[in-house]
Formats: sequence, structure tokens, C-alpha cells
Amino acid sequence: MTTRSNTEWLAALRQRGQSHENAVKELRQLLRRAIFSFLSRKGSTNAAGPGYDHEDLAEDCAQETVLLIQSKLDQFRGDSQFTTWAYSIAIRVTLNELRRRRWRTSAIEVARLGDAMPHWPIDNPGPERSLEQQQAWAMLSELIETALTPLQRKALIAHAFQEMPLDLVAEWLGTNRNSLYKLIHDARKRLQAALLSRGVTHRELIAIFDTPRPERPYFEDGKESLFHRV
Amino acid sequence: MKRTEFGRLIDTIFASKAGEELSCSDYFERLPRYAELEATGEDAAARLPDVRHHMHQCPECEEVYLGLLEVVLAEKKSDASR
Repeated sequence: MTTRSNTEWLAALRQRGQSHENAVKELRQLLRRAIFSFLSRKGSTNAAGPGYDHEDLAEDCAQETVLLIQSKLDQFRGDSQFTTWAYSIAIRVTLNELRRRRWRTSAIEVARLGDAMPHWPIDNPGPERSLEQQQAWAMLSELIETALTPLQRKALIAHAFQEMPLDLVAEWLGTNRNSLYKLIHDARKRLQAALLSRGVTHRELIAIFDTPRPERPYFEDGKESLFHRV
Repeated sequence: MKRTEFGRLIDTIFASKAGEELSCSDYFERLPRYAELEATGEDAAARLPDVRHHMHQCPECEEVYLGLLEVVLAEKKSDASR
């Protein structure tokens, strides 16, 4: 397999003829290998779903990614390796497919989608829920009902609590991913303002629900560790 | 919803910035550079803070980053062993 510079990749994929065919074939092989390796490392034997193995899924996602790449060549910024850019699209396509499959097998009723706030969203909450937790959850539920617009509430519940993938929420609401992200961002800002106006802090809420900290914490000791809040 | 996901939701509520945030499309444009910086041991979060912020606020986008980083690191290891 040849090693191509960014310029060589772009030139080969833009022209016609045998060199174009060779570049497409090489790209598809690279992507298929990367996707297969990624799926294998994910560890789940049924990540691809029943009746579908990782090789089939890797092949399909590699094909789709090659088509996407050819339609997006003008969007390549050139501030990374071309292959890294191509891999980023491949991983995105693959994860989208896995999320769609997972969602298709979920048991959310269409009638409840985005409209019903879960009573208690946390699995294994422990042998006893403290009164403090119940009160905090009731307050959070109330703020989601009262502080958000109907559309913000629908989007947040469907995505955050009913685990509908973002792209599918966007399709369902007749919008696009960027607009949906903005909608959810605005919903979070409203919730943040509402919580702070009631004197509830981030540290306090985390402590009440005793939620485990992520491996790569964004907040440390109640303060933002890496970013300046505007 | 898992407890870790609920904790993340609370984090994202309090980490929301007052102004505009990077969209998912803008994030994906910058992500390849971010992953390469991270793979070479540079402080990608300090160099591209908007990208880091977006991936915190958008777990689906962070999942793409983690997958991409694995692929880039595997490629790097493979190149080094040749």
C-alpha cells in the first residue's frame, strides 16, 4: 500500500481514471481495517447487532464513508493528516449506525417520546433513596416542566432521559444536528439559571445524588478545572 | 439512565456557557487536529479549548473523539514498529 501525502490523496480522489480507482480502493481498505479494529476493541460481541458481524458492518460503513469523503473533499481543512480526517468520518458513521440499531431495539413508546419525564432516571439508585434525593429530583423535574420551552423539554427528555440519538432527535423534530445542539444548550442554560436562582450549586447537586465522577473530570473541587466560564 | 450519565447531565447543565458554543459540525472540523495533538502528547485541551468544551457537553461527540484517538494511536504504534 502506498503512503500518500495530503496533496496526493486530494489529487488522486479528484481526478478520473485508474489512479482515482486505486486511491478509492486504498482508502476503503484503510477505513475498513480501522473500523473493524475499532469494533473489535469495543468489546461487545453483538455491537453490530444480531445477524450482522463486524466484518459486514465495517465493509458497509467503509463504503458509506468513502462516498461521504468524496462529497466533502472541499471541506478538508488540511490542518491534520488526510487519513485522520477520513478516520474521524468513519468513526462517526460507524457510531451513528450502532446508535441507530440500539435505538431501534429500545422499548420507548412513540406516544411517550419526549413527553413523559421519567419518575426516577437512575438505575440502581441504592437500597434507599434519601428524602434529600427525592426532593432534589422533584425540583429538577419541576424545573424541566416549567423553565423550558415545550420544544426544549421534548428534545432534552428524548435525548438525555430516553437516550434517543441526537441525529434521530433532530430528524424527529424536523431540524438538524447543529440546531438541536443549540436548542439543548439553551435548555441547559435555562436550567442552570433556574437552579442557581434557588441557591442550588453544582457541587451540592452532585453530592446529593452521589453520582460517580467521570474519568476525565471537567470540574474539580466544585470549580472548572480547564475553562473560564463566560 | 446510568448514574454516571446522570452525573454528566448535571455537569453539562452547570458547564453551559453564557455565549455561543461550538456546533457539532464545527467540532468535527477541528477534531482531527485535536486528536493528532493529543496523540503526540501535546496539551490539546489548552490549544483547542472550544473543542474540549464541546466534547464535554456532547457525549456522542466525545465518543467519536475517543474512537478516533484509538485509531490514531494504533496507526502511530504500527508506523513505529515498521
